[in-house]
Amino acid sequence: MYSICICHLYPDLLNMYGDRGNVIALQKRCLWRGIDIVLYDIALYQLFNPDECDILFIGGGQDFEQEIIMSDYMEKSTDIKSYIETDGTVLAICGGYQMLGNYYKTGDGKTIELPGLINIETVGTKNRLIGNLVFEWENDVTGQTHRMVGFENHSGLTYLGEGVQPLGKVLKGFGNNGQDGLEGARYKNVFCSYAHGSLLPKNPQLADYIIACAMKRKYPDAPDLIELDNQYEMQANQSMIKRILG
Amino acid sequence: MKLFATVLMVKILVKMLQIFKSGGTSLPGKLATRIYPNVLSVISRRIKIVMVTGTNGKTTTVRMIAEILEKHDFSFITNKSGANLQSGITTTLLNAMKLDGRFQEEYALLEIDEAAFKTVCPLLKPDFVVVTNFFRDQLDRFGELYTTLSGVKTGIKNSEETVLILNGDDSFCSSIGKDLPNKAYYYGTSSILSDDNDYGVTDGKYCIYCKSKYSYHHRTYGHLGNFYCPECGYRRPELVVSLSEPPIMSDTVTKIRLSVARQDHEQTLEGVIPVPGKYNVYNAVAAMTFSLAAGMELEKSMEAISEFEIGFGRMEDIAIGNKTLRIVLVKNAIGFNQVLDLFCSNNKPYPVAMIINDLIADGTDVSWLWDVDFEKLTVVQDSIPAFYASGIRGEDMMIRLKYAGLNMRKVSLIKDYIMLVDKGLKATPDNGYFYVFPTYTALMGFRKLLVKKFGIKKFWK
Ligand SMILES: [Zn+2]
Repeated sequence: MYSICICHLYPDLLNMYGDRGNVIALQKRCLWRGIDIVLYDIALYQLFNPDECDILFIGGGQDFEQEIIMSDYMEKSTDIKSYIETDGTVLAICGGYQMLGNYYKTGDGKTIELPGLINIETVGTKNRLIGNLVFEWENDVTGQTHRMVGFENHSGLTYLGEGVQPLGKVLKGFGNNGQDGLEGARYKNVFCSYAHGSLLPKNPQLADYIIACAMKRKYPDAPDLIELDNQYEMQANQSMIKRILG
Repeated sequence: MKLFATVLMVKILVKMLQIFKSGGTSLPGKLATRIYPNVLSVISRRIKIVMVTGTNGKTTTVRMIAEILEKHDFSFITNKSGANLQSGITTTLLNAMKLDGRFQEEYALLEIDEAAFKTVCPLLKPDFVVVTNFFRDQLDRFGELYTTLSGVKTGIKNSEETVLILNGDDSFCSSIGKDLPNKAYYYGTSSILSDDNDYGVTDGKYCIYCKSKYSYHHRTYGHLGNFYCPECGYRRPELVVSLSEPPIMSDTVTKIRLSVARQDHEQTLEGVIPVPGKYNVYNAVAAMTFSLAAGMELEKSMEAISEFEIGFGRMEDIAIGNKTLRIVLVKNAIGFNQVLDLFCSNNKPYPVAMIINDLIADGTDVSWLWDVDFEKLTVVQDSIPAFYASGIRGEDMMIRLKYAGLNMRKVSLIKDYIMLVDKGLKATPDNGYFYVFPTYTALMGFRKLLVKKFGIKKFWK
């Protein structure tokens, strides 16, 4: 029996825009395949044990909540770093994405130092980037491309540094910064995106890719994931693409 | 002279818009503000003003207060819930003003959007402000919760005479009274309404002053309840009006018992709210607290509440043959949780439809559906004949229900409202209810269809 452990970082502080839906999607898509799930909520001041974790999820928060977690997060960051460097799987959305970077420069010039778990930088602006987002993501195992749909709402502009790949190419919307046409970030098994909505339920290929990363690391000999019926998921995905791209 | 001209213009425009049957309420107010930017501040001293704001329950609370004013023979002006921004309020007030600049009515009872409050309140300097609660709402429109809250505080800041009626069970609301010198009446519950954990919604769990986690003597729903901060000592203030026993609810009414702290004694009041749902209990207690603050007779007010009719879409029962369509508007995660609670606690074999749109008035981001606890439907699903998803984002609703763990053989996506009503009513047992939960613009479209198909008269004036 296979078993995957999902750690949800600060679930009662970082959960904007239904971020929880991503955890539900990972959980259900494992269970439907007979993969057991252990779900850990990592609260403030609670230990994050990188050896027990197979997928780490980080959602976004409001400024008030992000301030609360900052010192505890900086302390945990050493363990998260070693987890990432040993190919641990991470999904980080919006504020959780920004938090992994080197720093966040606010609109009024203040710099918030961050642990630099991945080489990205974020600069705050006055205008929020809000709206439906469609981006193209390439599954580098199958070589197939898929259109991902979500909704973005952020004021930070994120720029990728050396060693970090974009998660996808923007087809409609702003993505990382509204300028370079890139959306999200990929570093080793770390997946970042500005898209909530929630992201994974409507984009099952990406959900499965993330599960497969975690499985491969924990059970190198396990067979490929079995296919699930994605009828409803693809209906939701397609209806939005049709509406947004026309 | 300037006032005269502005009032006249508004009156003429409103008349014209009525003739052309475009129900628009914002245009006259917008123009009036352009001609006379501070026109609202002129009004402020000419009529008693009651403003109701907050995330959920504004419309219902206003309706209850209206009933109370009527019972006490006070005349009043009130705005429609769709006209709760600055322009709509300006239209309402100027249209009611006589050309000599006076009002015939004694009160102006205004529902106001919590984001617009910041600019309207300093102009109107109301006599009373009722704040219902603060919950996570359409983030694409309002931005962060804390911004909305501080906007409300800023709005009241320079009106020290304004009497506040605040939900003491809400740590956000209570902080308004703590941070401002105004006289404040707090209401809340001294008994447990439920022990929900609303696990998807995470706002208000940490102290607004010192950022430690709140503890609770009891919690009602969301972050509401008898809270206290073990670190800095911030706690729920003394309540003046409180629910003293758990309410008794049926399909159609809620019985409540209130305790009122009078100067030298405790007064007990019993009453009936003619709608179910525990969120309506808070609204009734808020309205009662207003009537106390305004020096009205509480027994009379309680009687008034028992006679009120709930507002547009907040819960409408429409009889079709021997079955009833029950429509309840859903706007945000906490509200939707409350409505689902009501549906599940029934535990009767009634079908249910969720109609989700994503137009501007609904909020263009439907992520909040993932904060709603649809998982609780799995407990009752065996006895429910059918679940329906509909609306522009019906597909999103479908996957939400799938991932909530519903048996998808019972769930169907029906975008066509006529077919939805047909199927839903067919699945409804005789003398039973078909529950329909639409977002705002879905409600509009759905009602239009009912008017056309069943000839139901428009009872929204
Ligand atoms: Zn505190």
